[in-house]
Amino acid sequence: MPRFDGREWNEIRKISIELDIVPNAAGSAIFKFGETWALAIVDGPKPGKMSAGFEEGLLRVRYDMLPFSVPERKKPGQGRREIELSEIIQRALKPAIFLDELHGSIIDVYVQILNADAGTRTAGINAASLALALAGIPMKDLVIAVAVGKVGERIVIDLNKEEEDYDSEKLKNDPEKSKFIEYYGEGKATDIPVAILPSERKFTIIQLDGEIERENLKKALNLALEKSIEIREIMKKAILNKYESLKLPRI
Amino acid sequence: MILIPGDPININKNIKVIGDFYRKDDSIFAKTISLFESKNFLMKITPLNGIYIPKKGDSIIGKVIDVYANGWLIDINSPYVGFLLVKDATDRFLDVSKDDLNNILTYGDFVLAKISNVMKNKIINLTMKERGLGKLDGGVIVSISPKKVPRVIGKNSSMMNTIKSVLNVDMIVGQNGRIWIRGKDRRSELLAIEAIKIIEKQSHRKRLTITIKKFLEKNKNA
Repeated sequence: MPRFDGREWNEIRKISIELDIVPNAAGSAIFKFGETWALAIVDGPKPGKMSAGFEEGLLRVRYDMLPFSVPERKKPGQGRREIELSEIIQRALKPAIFLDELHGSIIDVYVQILNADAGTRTAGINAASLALALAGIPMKDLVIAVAVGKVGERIVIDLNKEEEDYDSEKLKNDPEKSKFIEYYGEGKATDIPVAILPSERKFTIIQLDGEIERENLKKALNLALEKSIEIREIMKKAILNKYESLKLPRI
Repeated sequence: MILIPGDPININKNIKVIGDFYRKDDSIFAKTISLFESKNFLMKITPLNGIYIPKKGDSIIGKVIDVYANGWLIDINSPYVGFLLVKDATDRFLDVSKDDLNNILTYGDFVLAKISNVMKNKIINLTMKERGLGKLDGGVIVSISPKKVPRVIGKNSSMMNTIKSVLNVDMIVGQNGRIWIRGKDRRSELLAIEAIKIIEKQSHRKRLTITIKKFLEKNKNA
């Protein structure tokens, strides 16, 4: 008996990647985790206005969601949630970038969510690290983000909206979905989005929304580490594909 | 072979590695999306895209973006801006309190200049007081990724000479990724731009000079 959308517990959603879609930007990418689509655009490095703090470059991130990216129309513009997520994505990306080589310059990263089905920050971080790499910014590694979590009593990876809102008490009254309680177990959902530097096996962010025991947390984080290498391979394949698919002119 | 940031590179002590990479413990890793080549005892890691970091002695093509009382602010296609002082721009005697600097260089002018000094806080001083440097009149400017400049010039300028001789155009390649082209007619200029754009896209391929030569000769009389 599989999950709500038919996946196994350690199966990520289908990933698809498009690179360099905005010709005027230094680098851009769309990263899709199933129905969660994130577009990232990198502008810069460009001249900073102030010479103070020239020892290090400045990384700015702006995260936003399109009004029609969610089922119920979202008011355009940044609110509390968007400002917070911008800061989180910035903190996730910063350890990977050699900012000390870009003293006094500014790198702007714009993350736009085109379609949301849980896990927007992880898709946003993945898209942003692809766009940064395409812009030629020196990096330690691609930053790979993925969500792990505990739904009911089961550890799963890459939660979708349905799993994020899981509550066995509510599902009991639903004739169609009550059968899933058998698979997930009693309880609510815990969501842990993480960002990872795969080559160093280090986490750049770990967030926790819900409750989880120490043992299960360890298990979940190890699962994320394992899967991040898999996601990195998919991202690498997409980049190599872009360079190999360029055709020579006909002579 | 193409590497992405974080890809490990296998080395032993006899092999010299040049290019863009970083060390951690005893191993080395790629820093940008780059092309990996190894030949005998040399490994080369060439970035495929990136920005221009000014170096002392580089010849660059800059654009005047501001005129001050004592010089010009020059955009050098980099995270930093260049500054050209009056004394480094002209041999003429100028009284800055009476003369108008706009008569020498003004907004939007392109200049070929050399980087004379890079300060610690990335103030870039430029000079035009050397042979061949100065304002660029006529022609067209193309911008490419600065990391592709060595490919446009080619080994011993082979690529640049091919474009110059086949199309009969003047061409100056700035280290910052700006290229100035002046031909007898607009057609040859446009063809040169097209060739440069092909080089930029295909820079990781081998035998590009021959491809470009064939392309230019075929389209020259079309």
